[in-house]
Amino acid sequence: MKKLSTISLFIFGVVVIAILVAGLVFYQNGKNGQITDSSKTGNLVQGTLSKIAAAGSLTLDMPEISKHNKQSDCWLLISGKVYDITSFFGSHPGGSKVMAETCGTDATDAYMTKDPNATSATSGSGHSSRAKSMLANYYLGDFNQKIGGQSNKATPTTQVTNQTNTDSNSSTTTPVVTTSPTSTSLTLSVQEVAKHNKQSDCWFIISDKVYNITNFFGSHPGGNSVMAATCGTDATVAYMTKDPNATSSTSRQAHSSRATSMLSSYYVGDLNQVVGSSTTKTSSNIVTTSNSRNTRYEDD
Amino acid sequence: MPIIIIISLIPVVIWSFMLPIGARFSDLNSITTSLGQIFGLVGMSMFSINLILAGRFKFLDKYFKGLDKVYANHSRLGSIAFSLILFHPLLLVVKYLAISTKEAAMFFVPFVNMPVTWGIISLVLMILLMSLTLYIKLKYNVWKISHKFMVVAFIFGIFHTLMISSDVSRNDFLRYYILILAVLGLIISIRKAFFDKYLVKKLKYKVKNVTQLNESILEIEMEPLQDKMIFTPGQFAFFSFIGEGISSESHPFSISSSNIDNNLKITVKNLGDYTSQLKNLKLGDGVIVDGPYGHFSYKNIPNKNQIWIAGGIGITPFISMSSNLEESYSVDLFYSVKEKSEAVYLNNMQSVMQKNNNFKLNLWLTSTNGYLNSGVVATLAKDLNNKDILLCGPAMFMESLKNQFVSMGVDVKKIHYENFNF
Repeated sequence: MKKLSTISLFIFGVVVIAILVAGLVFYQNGKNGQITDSSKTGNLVQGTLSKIAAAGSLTLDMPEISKHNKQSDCWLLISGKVYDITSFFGSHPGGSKVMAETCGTDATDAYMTKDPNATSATSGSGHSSRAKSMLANYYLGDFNQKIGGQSNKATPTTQVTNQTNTDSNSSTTTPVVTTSPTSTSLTLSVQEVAKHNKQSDCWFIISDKVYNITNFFGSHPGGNSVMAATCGTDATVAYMTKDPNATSSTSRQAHSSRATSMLSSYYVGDLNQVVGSSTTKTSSNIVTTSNSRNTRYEDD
Repeated sequence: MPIIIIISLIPVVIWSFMLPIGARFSDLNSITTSLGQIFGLVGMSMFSINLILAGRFKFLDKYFKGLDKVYANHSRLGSIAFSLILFHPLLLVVKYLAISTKEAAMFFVPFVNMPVTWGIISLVLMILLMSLTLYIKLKYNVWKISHKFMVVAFIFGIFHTLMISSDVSRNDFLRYYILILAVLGLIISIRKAFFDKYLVKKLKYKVKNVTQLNESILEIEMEPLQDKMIFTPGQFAFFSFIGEGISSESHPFSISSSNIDNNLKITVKNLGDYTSQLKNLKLGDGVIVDGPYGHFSYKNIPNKNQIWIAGGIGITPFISMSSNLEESYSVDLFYSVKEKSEAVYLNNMQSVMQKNNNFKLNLWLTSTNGYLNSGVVATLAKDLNNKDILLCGPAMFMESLKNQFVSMGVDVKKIHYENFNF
């Protein structure tokens, strides 16, 4: 029995040291190579985007996503973003089967829990931030965004307009940037966001999107103070970990997909996007538009 | 032991029903991941069981037919669990290697992901403690303290098992199974480590007499303060002496007195740090006795034709056994010592011989006759057929004689001995 332990320990030592040395010491060269590589291709779904552009335009809505429901043509929706992960099969650490089950669906819960049959009640910690950055390479566009046409990706203005146009049926209050025709425009830079750093005027950045959550205070299940601590900052990690002091190495359970869909109601625009605005302040105007889901806070 | 295997494999059965097996073993990534999960689940279940085995329970002593066999199983199971747990991350890293060596290396770096970090801490601690056990010869009492820290490694391991996103977090039954097994193991090991003195029913004795039998052998006679211990001749107990100049940790000794005596006797040879302290014992010093344990007794063997072989201080259980041996038994006792001065209790043996015609003593002096061997035993006992052989003495002595008897064609099931190496 001592032999068994010794042999196992030996194999363990050799493999771990080999991987650590190869991965942390010698990887530098390969990494540089990869950076140049990805800078050439940019986005791994460029092909799909070009095809869509060639065929005209396309709205990334649920009927459209559900058409791409097989491994050979697989789109999915995660936290309000649409991804074409067809070329990712084979590289998924969790295997291709589990991923294939989610093709053509809203895979937010599955992604958050690593369980293809998950419901929002399923617990389990989600994918790592590394997985997240990998996923970004397969980004097609936002949910209900119209892509194609003049450019591969929708311009921010069309996106906002689109949202107001299609969603103006029901009656939940949603703050949306008023896209007024005035010439005054505003860049959603980090500096601009930083100006809105108090509870009475609170913007923050999550995953390179800017949100104005001033009107959400009082409704946050996690309380006001934790959220107020992130006003004017990049709150991505805080949002992912539910910890205002989190660093990128902190690992905790993220907000639910319901929380994510609530958040989308407070979307102002993408980071560094230029938005039209009559005055700087009106960017926090509230217009009555839809929010397709119920905002139930009790079970975040 | 089948029960251990069943308890360890139940999580795999639950696990295998959670997803179609085809999906679990479809390609290299999923096969290595699945095996990694199985190894982790079985390894942790075995670790939990091992904490229970270490609990020194009388029911385990009975079930395994001797506490030495419980500990032998503990050490074997520990090695298997340790190896499984070592291969758990190696199998899981394969899928990251498929992406890049960088991703794979990050998998082994602590503090990237907290649940993984618990696992890393647990594993590092386990490797350290197992290395102490396997490769560094520590003094028994130092090793014993160091080995208790396995529980800390276990706690981190259980945090890891329950908190990481996996089949355990997804299946309630699996989660509670692992949790209950772990809590059971934890309660038992914490009880043993901290509350042993208070929670385990032990008997209280006081030192009645200390006799120096020869220059290195002491006989300690103890008198019960309340109840006396009920035991079968040949069994042992854990003794902890409360006296000046003696450490209070408990040590196992065979009982050398008869089971019908009121007082309890042990016979101790000065072999190390602890046994040399025992000469500091004073009359009236307190003794806490935990026992009896063990399955080594002529009474547990249906065959009444027996050969008893004692090497040196290994005579102690035979003293107890012979003291009121029934006449229906026919026994040849071989007592191997270096010189006659080392042969304690010769008078006792001779008086048994006078009373019982079926009891025969053969004193073997190695200084004049060389080592006792199976050929000598076969000749002097006239016949090995239909006889059971009981061995007690140093480990090498028992191992060597056992092998000699087996090579002479004696059925290994007819050779009985107990390992005191715990």
